Formats: sequence, C-alpha cells, structure tokens
Amino acid sequence: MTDAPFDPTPAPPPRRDAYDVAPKGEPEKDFEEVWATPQGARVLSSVSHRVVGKRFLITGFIFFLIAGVLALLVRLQLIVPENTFLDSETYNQFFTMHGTIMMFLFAIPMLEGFAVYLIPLMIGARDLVFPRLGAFGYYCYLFGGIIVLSSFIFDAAPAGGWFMYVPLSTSQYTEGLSADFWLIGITLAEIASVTAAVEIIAAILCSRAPGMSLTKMPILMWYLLVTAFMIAIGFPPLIIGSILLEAERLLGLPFFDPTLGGDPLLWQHLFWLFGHPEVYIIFLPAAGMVATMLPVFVGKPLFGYGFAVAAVVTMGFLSFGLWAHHMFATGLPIMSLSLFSAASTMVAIPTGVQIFCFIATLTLGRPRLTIPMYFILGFLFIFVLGGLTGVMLAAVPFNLQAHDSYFVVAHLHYVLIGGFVFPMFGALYYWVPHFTGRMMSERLGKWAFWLMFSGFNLAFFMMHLTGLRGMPRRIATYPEGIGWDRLNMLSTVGAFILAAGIAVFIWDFFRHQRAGPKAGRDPWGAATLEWLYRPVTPGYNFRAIPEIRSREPLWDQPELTEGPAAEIEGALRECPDHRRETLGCDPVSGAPLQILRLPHPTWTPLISAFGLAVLFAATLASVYWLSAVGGLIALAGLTGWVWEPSDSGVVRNTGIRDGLELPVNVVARGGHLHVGTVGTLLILYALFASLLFAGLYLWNTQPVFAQATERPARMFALLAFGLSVAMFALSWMTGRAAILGSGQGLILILNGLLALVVGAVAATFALALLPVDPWSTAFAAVGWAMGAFVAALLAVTFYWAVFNALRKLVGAQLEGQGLPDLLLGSFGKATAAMGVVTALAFLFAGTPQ
Amino acid sequence: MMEGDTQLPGPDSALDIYNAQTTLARAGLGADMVFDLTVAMTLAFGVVFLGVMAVVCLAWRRNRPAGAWWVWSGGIVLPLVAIIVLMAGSTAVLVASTRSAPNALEIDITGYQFWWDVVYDPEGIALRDANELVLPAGRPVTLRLRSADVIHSFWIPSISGKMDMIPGRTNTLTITPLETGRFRGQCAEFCGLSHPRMAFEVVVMAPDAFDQWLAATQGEARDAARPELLAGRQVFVDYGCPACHEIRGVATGGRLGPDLTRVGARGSLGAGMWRMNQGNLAGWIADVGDMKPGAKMPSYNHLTGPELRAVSAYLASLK
Amino acid sequence: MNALVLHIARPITLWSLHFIAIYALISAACAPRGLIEADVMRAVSGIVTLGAAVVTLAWLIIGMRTLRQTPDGAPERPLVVAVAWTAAISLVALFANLWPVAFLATCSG
Repeated sequence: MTDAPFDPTPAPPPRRDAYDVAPKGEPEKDFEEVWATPQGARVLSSVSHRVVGKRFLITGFIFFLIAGVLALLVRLQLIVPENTFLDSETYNQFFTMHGTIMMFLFAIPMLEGFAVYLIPLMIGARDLVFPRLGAFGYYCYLFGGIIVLSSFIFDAAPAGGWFMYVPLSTSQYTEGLSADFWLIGITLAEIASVTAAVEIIAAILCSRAPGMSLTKMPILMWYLLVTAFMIAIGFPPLIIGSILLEAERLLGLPFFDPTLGGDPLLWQHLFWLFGHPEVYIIFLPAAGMVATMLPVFVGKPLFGYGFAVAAVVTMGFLSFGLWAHHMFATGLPIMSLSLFSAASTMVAIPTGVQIFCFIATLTLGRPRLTIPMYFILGFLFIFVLGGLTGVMLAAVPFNLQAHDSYFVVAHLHYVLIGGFVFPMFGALYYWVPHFTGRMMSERLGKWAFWLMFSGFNLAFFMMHLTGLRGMPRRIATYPEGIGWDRLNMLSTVGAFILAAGIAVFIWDFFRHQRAGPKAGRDPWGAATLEWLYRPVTPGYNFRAIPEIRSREPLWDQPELTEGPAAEIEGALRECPDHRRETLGCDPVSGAPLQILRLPHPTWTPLISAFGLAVLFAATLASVYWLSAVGGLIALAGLTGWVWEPSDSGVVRNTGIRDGLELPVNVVARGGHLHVGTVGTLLILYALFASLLFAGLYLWNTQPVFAQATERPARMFALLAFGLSVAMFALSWMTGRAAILGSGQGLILILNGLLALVVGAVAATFALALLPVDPWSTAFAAVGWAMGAFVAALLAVTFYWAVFNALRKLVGAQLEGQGLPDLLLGSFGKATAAMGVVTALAFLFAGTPQ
Repeated sequence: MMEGDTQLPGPDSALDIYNAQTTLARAGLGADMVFDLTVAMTLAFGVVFLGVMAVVCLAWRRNRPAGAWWVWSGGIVLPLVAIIVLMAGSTAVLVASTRSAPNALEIDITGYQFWWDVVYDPEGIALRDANELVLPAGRPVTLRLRSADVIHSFWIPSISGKMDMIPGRTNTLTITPLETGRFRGQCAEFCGLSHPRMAFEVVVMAPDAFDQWLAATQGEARDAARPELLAGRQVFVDYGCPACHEIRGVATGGRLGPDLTRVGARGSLGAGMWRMNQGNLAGWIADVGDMKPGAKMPSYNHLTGPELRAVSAYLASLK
Repeated sequence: MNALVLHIARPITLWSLHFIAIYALISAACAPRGLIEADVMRAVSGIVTLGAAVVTLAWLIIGMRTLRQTPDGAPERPLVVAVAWTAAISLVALFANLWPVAFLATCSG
C-alpha cells in the first residue's frame, strides 16, 4: 500500500548532458550558507517559511491587539446606558473595524502563520513548495492591512459593519471613501488567503518526507488541508461580491440596485457564502492544533485518527450548506429557511465526533496539566457551550428572536474565542519554545489563563441574557431602565479582565525572551517532526530528510532521537548543485517522486506585492495613471519571478534507499507545480461560479428585469462558443505535448496558435457583449462581469503563451523541460471551459429587443 | 450628545416599563411559543453541556482507554437525537408562528432612516401614522414590511420575532398580540448613524377599543383651538414643515417625514426615544441634529423662542 | 490508498450535489419566477434523495464490510475508518436536506 514504486508518467528520459547544471545555484556556498537567512535589510527578501510564518504571526497578533483595544472602547461606551463616551459615528467605526480586523487581519493570517511555519517542519520538508508565494501573500496582507487601518488617519474609517450590507454601503448612503477603504484593502489582504490556500494544498500533498503516506501525516495536516480547500472555495464569493460592490460604487453598475433589477440580498448571499465557511476556516486549524497538542500531554496518540479525518472532511463540505442561516429574517421562503436550518444542525455531528475524539484521548493516559492543556480545557468548555447555542440558533423561530441581538454576539464570541483564540493561545505557549528557544512561565501562564477564562465568561455569558432581553446588536447607546444596564456593566468588566489576561501573556512573552529557561530538545515530549532539532533550530529545517515509518516518529523511531539531529540519516544530505532543495512526494502514498528546487531569497515577491498595493491604493484615491504604473510594476515583478530558467530534466541521487535517483521538478500531473495550478484553478472556478450564481439568482428572483435585458449578439456568442472549444482542444494538446516531451518546434507552434485563438475568443466575446448596456439592468451588468472575468483569464493565457514561446526562443526553457507548458495547458483548458459556459449563457440569457 | 433632561420617560410611554422590550415575554403568539422553545432548549442543552463536561472530568480521571462507542454515542447518536427533537419542535413552532391568517388586519410599515411610516388598512381606509403601532389584542395582523432606503429590521421582541425590511421587496409578517399594554420595538438591522435611535412603541388594545380608536383617528387633525395653537400652526406652515410632514386637514402631501396628524397622542418622540411632551418637542425641533445624528430633518435652531413654543404647543395638542 | 481517498470524498461530495439540487429545486419552486410547481419540486426532491440515499447506503455497507476485514494494525486502516464514517455522516445529512420538503406543506410553511 505505502511506498508503491513511483510509476514514471511518460516523462522523457532526462538528458543529463544538456541540463546538468543548476541555473540559479550559488557554487561558493555550502549547505548551511545556502539556507541561511539574509541579514540586514536584505531580510525583506527572505522567502523562508519560518521567516514569513513568524511575520504572519507577529503582524496578526498586532492586529489582534488593535482590534482588541477597539473592542474595549466599544465595551466602555456600553458600560452605562446613554453613554456619551463615543459618538455614534466613532462607535460605528470601532465596531466595524473590530469585526473586520478580527476576521480578516487577525484570525485568517494567524492561522496562515501557523500553517506556513509548521507545515514544512511537521512533514519533513525544508521549506514550503512555493516560498515566494508565501512571501508575496504576506506583503499583500501587510499592505492591505495598512490600507484598511490608514482609513483612521484619513478620518474615513468604514462604519457600515464588517458585513457591509448594501444599500447602506453603496455610494448613495455611504459617501466618501470609507467603504472603498474596506473593499479595496480587504480584497488586497485576501490575496494572502487564497495564495496561502494554494501553498498549503501543494505543500502538504507534494513535499512530505519519504514514507509519510496520508495516514502517517500529523493530524494537523488533515485539518489544514481541508481548511485550504475551504479557503479556495469559500473566499471567492466575497472577492466577487467586493468587486461587484466596488464596481457599483465606482462605475454605477446596478448589481444590487432593486430599481434596476438588482437585489440587496444578492450581496448577503455572496457575503455569507464566504462568511459562514469562514467560521469553520478559522475553527478547523485551531481544532487541529488541539488535536496535535492534546496527545502530547496525554502521552498517547490521538484517539480515532480516522474518525477525526472523517469529521474534518465532512465538516469542510457541510459548512458550505448553511450560509443562509444568517439570513433567516430576510423573508426567504420558509421552505428555504427550513433547508438551511436542517443543514445547520448537521454540523453538530462532525463537531461532536471531533470533541469526543478529544475527550476519549484523555482516557488513554495520565494527562499532564500544562499551560497549553489549560487552554485546551478552556476551549472544550467554551466551544461546547458556543456550539450548543449555535444549534439553538439553527432553530428558525428562535433565530427570528435572537438574530441580530446580543445572543448572537454571545454565541459567535463563544465559538470564535472558544474555538480559535483559546486554542491559539495554547498553541502559542506550546510552540513559543520553537520560536524563541525559551520556555514561558507556568505561573504567569496560569494567571493569563484564569484571567482570560473568567473574564471571557463574565463578559460573554451575560450577553446571552442581554440578547434574550431584547437588546439588538450594533447599537451605540441604549436607554436606561430597559433591563440591560447591569448586564452590560458586567460584560464590560469581564472584557477588561479578559484583556488583563492577554496583557499577562504579552508581558510574559517579553519577559521569557530574557529570563525564560532554555528549552531542551523536544521540551514537551512531542511526537512530531518539528521538535526533531533542539530549538532554536539552525537556518535549515532538516540537514537530511529522514524516512518516516510512523505517525508519531519521535516516539516510535528511536534512530531519530538517539543521536544529534543533524547527523540523522536521510535524503538530500548532499548538496551538489548548491541549491535549496527538498524532496517531493507522491500526493497520496508519500513515496519519493522528485527533487524540488526551491527559490533562494529574492525581491520579486516584495516588488510584485508593492506594485499591487500601488494599484489598489491608487484606485482608492482615483489616481488612475498611478494604478496603471502599479499594475506595470506588479507585472514586471511577476514576470521576473517566473522567468528563471527551468530546472527540470536533471536526475540526482537522493542518498536514501540504496541510491534512489529522482528527477528534479518532474513534468507530471502529480508534481507540486501542477497541483498548485489545480489549486489555483479551483479558486478561479469558484470565482466564476460565484458570478454564475449571481446571474442565476437574479434571473430567478427578478424575472421581469431578466426578460427586459438585451441578449448578447447571437452570432458572436456562437463564434465565441466554437472558438472556446477550439481553445480547449489546443490547450489539451499543449499539456499533452509537454507530458510526452514533444519537440520544441511543435510546442512553439502550439504556443503561437493558442495565443492567436485566445485573441479571437476575446474579440468575439467583446463583440457579443457590445449590444448589451451594462447600466440597463443588474442582469446585464452581471453578463458584463462574466465577460470581464473571462477576458481577464484570457489575457493571462495570452501573456503566458507568449511568455512560454519567448522563453523557448531565448533558451530559458529547453527541450524536454515541458513543465511551463503542462501548466499552461491546464490553465488554458480551464479558461476555455469557463469561456464555453459563458458563451452558452450569452446564447440564452436575455431577450433580443 | 443627548440632553439628560429630555431622557426621562413618562407614564404614557413604554420607555419606563421594565422588560417592555424582551423576548422573555408572552405578549404575542410568536413570542409566547418561542419563549417555551427557548426554555426547553436552554434546559435540554444545559443538561447536555453539563453532561459533556462531566464526561471530560470522567475521562481525565479514568485510566481505562475509551472504546469507539464513546465517539459513536457522543459524536453521532447524542447530537442526532438532540437534532431530531429540536428540528421537530422548531418546525412545529415555525409553521404555527408564521401561519398567515386570511382575515387579518393589514398594516403597511415602511422603514426610513431612522423612523417608521405606518399605514393601517392600506386597501381600505389607508390611515397613515408613524412611529407608533396600535394593535388589537387577540386578532392576527399582517404587517407588510418595506424599506424606503437601506435595510431595516422590524422587531417587537415581546410579541414576535423579527423581519427585515429590504428595498425592492415586501416582506410579510403575521403577528397576533395576546396581551394589552405598551411594548417597545426597535430596528434590529444596522441601518446607519442613528440605528440605536430607531425604536417605536406598540400599543395593544382590546379589540373593541381598537375599533373605536381606528374610527376616531381617521378624521382630520384636532383643530387649533387657542390663539397660541393657531400661531403654532402658522409657524408650522410658514417654515415649510408641510414639505415633509403631513397633518391631515392642515397640510397634505408631505411624505418625507413622519405623519404628524396625531403626534401629540404618541407615547414617545423621535421614533420611540423620548417621552412625548411639549418641552421635548421644542428641544427636538431646535436640535434634531444632536438628538438624532444623521436624521434628514434640519435643526430649526433659528426659530425664535415664542415661535418654538407655539409650534411645539401646537404639535403637542395634536391628539 | 488512492482509491480510499476517493472513497472518503465520494459520499460527502454526493451530499453537496444533493444539497445543491434541493436548494435549486426549492428556489425554482418558491422564487418569483415560479419555474416549477411545488408538487414537481416535491416529487423530484424525493426521487433525487432516494437515489442518493441508496447509493450512499451502499457505500456505507461496503465501507463497513471493508472496515471489518481490515486488521487493526493495517497501515491504511485510518482511511478505511474515515470512509465508513463519512458515508454514515453523509447519509444522515442527506435526510436533513429532505427535511423541509418532507415536513412543510407549502413554500411559506
């Protein structure tokens, strides 16, 4: 079953003579120097997952503190009725920014930070498979976060709620730039989430240590893998929604305008199609960290690994079927409400399975009550309570009373603080020795926990009652004597106690860096590979990548713990090409498949992200020439990024299994780049599906306007259909030729043909849409949005085809190095498929006027 | 931001009734059924919660490894049983509490930033009022909810669950008040700057009292009987108030602001926020911007003292 | 093991398709366009659910049998367990999707 010998897909026998060099090697450096983090200002060019991961964690934590201070100010305002501490506008800004920062700039980046930092260490890789993408994502997040925060400086902080409901957030009711700050800044920051999704999927599937089959992965990897897929599907609806809303604000396109056949509920659908899975995207990695830490302190493997896998996978799917339970009061048909109600309750099952796996794990040994364990127990207490109120809220009649009241505020904080913040603090205590090499204080940790736990429950349990007593959310003030005074007072006091606990943590964090005892090797007695080296580990992760035979390698494989870690036998000890390398594996069995050449420090991610940030910020400021400049900088950065000469076509000895020889960057569907491309396509399909949903939704709920919409020109739509099919065929041939290792000439011709056909498809789509006025109805506007989306993908395909052809002509891509064309083929096929669907939609939507 | 002395609730208003805005009440059919559901779920889930915590303690002390049945029973059977019971109960309540009634009284309510326009019996007498809802006890009422600008949500916690008011849509909500009295409702969907100041009062009367009220309220506004009131009426007209406000028999057509035909009879002022009296009315007219930030009405602080007194006296007399 | 990964994802993917189908049917019957009659929606929902349930049940039975035949220490056992459990959870969730169609008389309750 495991370690099935890799069946080489029909890759050509590599010709050593022609390619036997590493184009970007640094021959003057030895292994440690190759992996060393650059010093001084050049550290910004670092792409190492440990550097990027820590940046995510630190930045995310700073945003957590900012949003936390906003929450305290909000609570101060509510401490007494009719308080005048904050005026309404400031209060609205604060609660909006509290939610926005916590959800987009803290929770998601924080989990990305843990994922980026831990994944390679736990699966036996020397870095993520796309290190530059990680760095790029971080900078997008940083710049996006700065844009959002800078709105305070310009006195234009968003004040429409983190949910940005239309029409309140349209230019008619929110003048000025506040909503644009939100839409543009958050969209930029979200780029980090989707790039992280691709990164996580490809890293976990393609770069595990030899022998680490799916069943031997640390359980956290399952959680992160499912989370990454959820991000790939879940974020696109919001990205599309944000773009449509920004287009409505900027260009006046009537997507959500009911007078022109738009629908405010369309925004809510798109928002919650993202917003609900988001909650599970935040929860799952935290639960995964609990499932990682808990067995360590019990001293036995996790109970029911298979149960947990089933629970996580089903939860990932089920969580997409409940978005409308945020919309129970919007007047949807009762039958729809009941469907979402029933689906919502279903999540209780996989959640229950996980919780009982955790509880059953406790029975396996004698649990040690360490600080992370305190937080795990706190998680169990708070999250179970929050889960139960969640089931209550799934009951429609109760929801109609509790919705948008403080009961929901209580519920969501129980789920998010219980389900994310408590495990996160446990995880910080647990992995801090890995970051700093020192242990944090047990005594202060207990203080931090008990303050946080008691403060949290005081603050938020009361809110259940406040909500049942009829207090709506998001009100800056409330009248006296209505039964909410004392409860709010207690909530405010609790919030400050909770904050005191967090302050103790911060103090301890700074204290322990000087005074904390040095952490030994594997200080908690953990079983996973990140503890293989004594913290703080050297610049590299693994001097040689060991063979893995167990899910708890440090417990079951004595050879890993007996001698010095750097001397452990394993793959890729030799570094003949002076390149950063790690071992690539078969996605399922974990059998070694290829050697991955990883990038060395480079400025391209920073330049690309900077260009994008300029593009976004200039659009915000309506300085469109600067937007164009930003776009060009980003394009130049990205082009420099991918231009580097191809590495594939070389075979190297891995140093394991009696001299196992593996190809470098194999040209195959199971390779990391193709898996990454598939992940990217998943995101693009989800973006497209969101648009398609918008069109179908408007068609179904606004039939009169759909009827009144002009139909795209039929002849051109037909032509676009045919040309899209041709494009699909050409793309398929390109990918096929790449895998078969066809001659340069043939692939060059295919590249050229593809570029031509892409141009033709784009032209026919433009001509088809010409008679449709996007300002006439929302339905027409969605048609244009679909056209624009496909056009953007066509532009990428065109650029890519020309780019590949150029690289061949200048010798950066030699014969047999077909990887770029394999990827181009897959991307072209997907674009063509979306073109086909769009053309079909254009053939039948609307009426010829 | 708000003047302290204008806050005092008065005896004619729901503002001072403790628990006048709570879901833990039985003043309407929906609230009544949900109250039972809430209590039942709280008890049941309380037991489940304590049970799970007890199992955690048990697991902590126990040294014999758990079997797979722990996960089967705790992770699948327990939630499933709870879910089926819950769904059965909630579906029954859902159907019963949202059932439309064929002969129900109809009322159109339109949400504005930040007040409520109310039209009784829109197909018949079409009696317009604002910011206060008068209902008969024991009779089903179908509310047709719309919005004139952004999304609002109509909510009388003590009587029924909420329903959003969405531009471009008409949502219907059928409610049946069960107890007479005054209750407070409030906008439950964030709608902008003065969202917290968008409330309203509900007066539930005995059915015959309601019929009398409806008949008595249909006519034109009470006449200005005294010279001061006459002067006040003149101020109302001279300063262009009728552009937005209607007073039947005095000035018709103004629909941008609340109908004022019986403004003095309402329990509260400013959409359920302050006690209705002449002093508060004068404060309101002179200083809307401070009392209700974001309201469309400008502050008439350029009125002279006598003008302000006269117009507030006149409005207070409209009962 | 490739097959086992597929088998884990299979039933819950079917659930997703079923959910989308039921959502689409309800939307087609209850939205302003009124694309189909409520009875049609009910009948099609029933048939779709029956079909999906039979398939999922078959997967569950096969999964349980494989589970019994897989020894405790077998390396692929965790995935075999996960196959059976996803099938079980998916089967329950399928019926949850049918709940509104089964227990509500009309679109409005």
